Amino acid sequence: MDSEDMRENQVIGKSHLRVDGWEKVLGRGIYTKDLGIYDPLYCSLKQSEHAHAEIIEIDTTEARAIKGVVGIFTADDITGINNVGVINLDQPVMADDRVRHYGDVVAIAVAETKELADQAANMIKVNYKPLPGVFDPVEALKKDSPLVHPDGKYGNKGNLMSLMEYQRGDFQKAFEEADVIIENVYRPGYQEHAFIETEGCIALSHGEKITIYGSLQCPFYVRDAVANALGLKRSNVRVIQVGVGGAFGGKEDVPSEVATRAALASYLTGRPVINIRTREESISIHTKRHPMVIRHKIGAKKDGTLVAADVDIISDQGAYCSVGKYVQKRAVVHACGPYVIPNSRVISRFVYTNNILTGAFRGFGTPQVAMAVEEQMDELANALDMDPLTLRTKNMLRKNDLTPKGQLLDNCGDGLENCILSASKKSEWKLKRHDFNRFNEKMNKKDQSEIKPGENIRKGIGMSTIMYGVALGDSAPDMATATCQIAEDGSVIITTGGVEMGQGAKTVLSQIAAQEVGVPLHYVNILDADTSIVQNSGPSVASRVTPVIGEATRRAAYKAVRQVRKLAMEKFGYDYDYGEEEFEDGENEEMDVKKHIYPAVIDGEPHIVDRASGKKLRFKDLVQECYFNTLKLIGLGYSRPPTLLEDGSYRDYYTYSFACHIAEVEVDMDTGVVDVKKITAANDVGRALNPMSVEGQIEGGAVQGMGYAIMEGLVQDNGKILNPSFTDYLIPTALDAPELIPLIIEERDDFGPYGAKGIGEPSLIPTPGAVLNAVGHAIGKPIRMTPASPENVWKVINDRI
Amino acid sequence: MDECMEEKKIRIFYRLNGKDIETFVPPKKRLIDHLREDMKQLSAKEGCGQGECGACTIIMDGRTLCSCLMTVGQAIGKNITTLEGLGTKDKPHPIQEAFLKAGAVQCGFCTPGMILSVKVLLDNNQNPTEEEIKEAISGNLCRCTGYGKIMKAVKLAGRELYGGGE
Repeated sequence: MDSEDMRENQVIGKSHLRVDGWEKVLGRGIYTKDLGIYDPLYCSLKQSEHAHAEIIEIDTTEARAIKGVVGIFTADDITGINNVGVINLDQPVMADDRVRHYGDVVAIAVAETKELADQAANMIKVNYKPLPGVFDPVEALKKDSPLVHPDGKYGNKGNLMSLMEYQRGDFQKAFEEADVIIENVYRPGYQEHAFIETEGCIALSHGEKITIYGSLQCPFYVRDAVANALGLKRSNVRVIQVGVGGAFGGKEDVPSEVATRAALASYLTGRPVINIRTREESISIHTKRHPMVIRHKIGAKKDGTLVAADVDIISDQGAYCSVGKYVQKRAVVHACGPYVIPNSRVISRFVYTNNILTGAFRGFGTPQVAMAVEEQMDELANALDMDPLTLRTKNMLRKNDLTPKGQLLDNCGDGLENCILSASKKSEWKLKRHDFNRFNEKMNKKDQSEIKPGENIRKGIGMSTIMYGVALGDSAPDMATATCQIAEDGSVIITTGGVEMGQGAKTVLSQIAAQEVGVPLHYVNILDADTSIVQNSGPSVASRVTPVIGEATRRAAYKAVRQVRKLAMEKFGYDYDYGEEEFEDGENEEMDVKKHIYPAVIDGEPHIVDRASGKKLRFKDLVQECYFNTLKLIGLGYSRPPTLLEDGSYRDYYTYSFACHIAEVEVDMDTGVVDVKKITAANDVGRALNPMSVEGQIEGGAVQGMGYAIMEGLVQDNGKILNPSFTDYLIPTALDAPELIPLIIEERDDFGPYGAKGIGEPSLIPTPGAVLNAVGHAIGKPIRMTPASPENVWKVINDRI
Repeated sequence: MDECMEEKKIRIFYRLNGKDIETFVPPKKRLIDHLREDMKQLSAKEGCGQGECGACTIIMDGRTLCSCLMTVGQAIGKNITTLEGLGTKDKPHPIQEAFLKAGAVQCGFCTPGMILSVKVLLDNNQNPTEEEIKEAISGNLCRCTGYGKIMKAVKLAGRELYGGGE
């Protein structure tokens, strides 16, 4: 036997190809619309025609009369509770007595074909009494402003949905002692998720039970929403995930709306109901990234040491809370950046308006505040005549520092420093900063009339550094379960509550299971998330799939293979004292056992090898012997990140990911067009379980962040979205994407499987700040808003803002 | 109003992935719906229904077109390729293999249209420049990858098909 073949099975840490890759490149990936459903009905929405109005009457007579229309349903038909709100019970499945934004749905039409359903929805006549609306969060806080939820029953005070604040140290005194104070107002705007597959689901009722298949991130949210809306037990609602064509937070609570309507229609008609949104419906109904008005003040000593921060955030929540309060928590915790600042106050107000809802979007309130604090750092650097890089390294968080809000970083290594050093070195920061300064000076000196159109260019390089609290923190229950069963042929079946939405969840979970059980990757089958087969594992959000659901998977796999290993130990003649109980985390037991035996794939087949003798046993034979001896070949893994401390208090987040992105741009001074040439993106991921997949996240996140910075802007006119299409709402195409250099930094974390932390969101969060700082460097003036579109940049260049 | 329930049909004939097709369809039917519903070509995805995202891209007589913007009549006499016609797992097209190897696939929803756009590019240009690749796939929106690994996949496929390069 070649010794090479006897190597210990190593699956994690390698760039394995996607386990769902073949089906996708062959065009055989199955998404909601591709499910073969027998004899379905189609659902169309009757959307509100006002931003704010009372509903006087809904006339469905004409719509019902159309041949092929099976039902028109309104709030009156709801058999359970008319709510889909996750936090506040403020968002109806269908509008009851009033509409509060254009995305409210007044009725649904259900028919034999989509065309007939559309036609019927158009024929529904709604008599409204229009009410004055409020479309600006600052206006909404004023005394005589129209009220979105006048009764205040969601804990709101007027339109103030939620106030969240903290104070640490004596920030006022610290500002008095500061040598330099920088204070500015930032206005990060909305962002649309623009997943290429719109929201959709299929509901199949069978008596008092219902099954939902859909494009979703949070199967348990959907289960709970459907159970509530239909008045069913949660045990009777089963939600199964299908292929998801992108989500980015936009399929967090949004599918609850989609599914409750389809479920209701299916429940009432007894037929399968397909509810898939058009692009226009998608953009004009679902939640967006929160726009914010951020007044940001920082104070520092002459040598650049930060001493104080005072941040005031006002954000437009739209008509309903969605997950706004969780977004707010993140914005507050991250508002002062990844720096040592001993004195700070952050106050945030999230405000109801009659605009489009805002909610979950990759980064979850953090990109907005990161953009503000990072631009502040550049302005401070300018004021002190310091290199922005030096200012950041001087103040960055290291191990055992306290975050601005006061959390001790006793478990997060020096990931930030490594990110900053790595990105600045790779991008040749110092050299380019110097070269671009000289280039710009030369251009400024030129006689403007001599410069040809298209050549009036300035160059800029900008950086942004961030921290990001991984997983849900103390906002919501943050546990996950998984099961692992080993079939008699040695193959492995995993169930989890985690969703594959393109990010590579199935691949990384397969790797974890294969590593732990000791089999090749293709032995593992990760089942689609299904609410009926695992305990509520929370949502697939907050960059928690790899660390939290991955850890549950690892633990399940350890338990499933335990009897197989035990048998192998016996056969090799070891007298190892296996306790009766299996351990929750099995790392110590595994380490003990692996001193003697190890898994290896020999001639393509998994084996267990005795280290001392080199003898090997076929894994399959061992599994079959376990099976015939009626031994347990299934494991239940449960994981919960260590957010709760021994003294009963909670950390904000159990750990943090760090990143540093550096952007290089060219700006045309005559047109305001920004060309992002290059982004160098260093992200601390704890450990890259699949480096290629991590790179894919970094690249995709950075380009989405770049889109937010320079091109993506939602246009609303009194609550009506004027650009609900890809012609008018622009997202980056291949022509817009810059050269991207992803850099993986690995500062292992104690909790996550093999040291992994999350990467989904920290890939996007630093990019907007980096790009805007680069634009600021190029044109010599800050751009304190998104998008830095040609119009906005031109206005800043020419002092029109 | 009710005519779409019992609409009269027209005869259409075209070539789909190398096979001659002759069938009867309502003339107003969109080509994407005909391909998906009648011909079970599920790789053609609908992302916008307005010709903006490119997820429904097909190849017709050597050109990429958005099948959501066409009616069935426009297929008459044409030669159509969908992703189903490109390769199988046993015999994948080099572009499909390259997409997988380069990590160019995430959610996969844009992938069928993207691969077909790359096919037309590489059929006509054995050694495209960076800009030519970007131009060729600029009608196919991808929200997951940031396009970097797609660019790599195109170059990899080009080398696989025609040799040369790195």
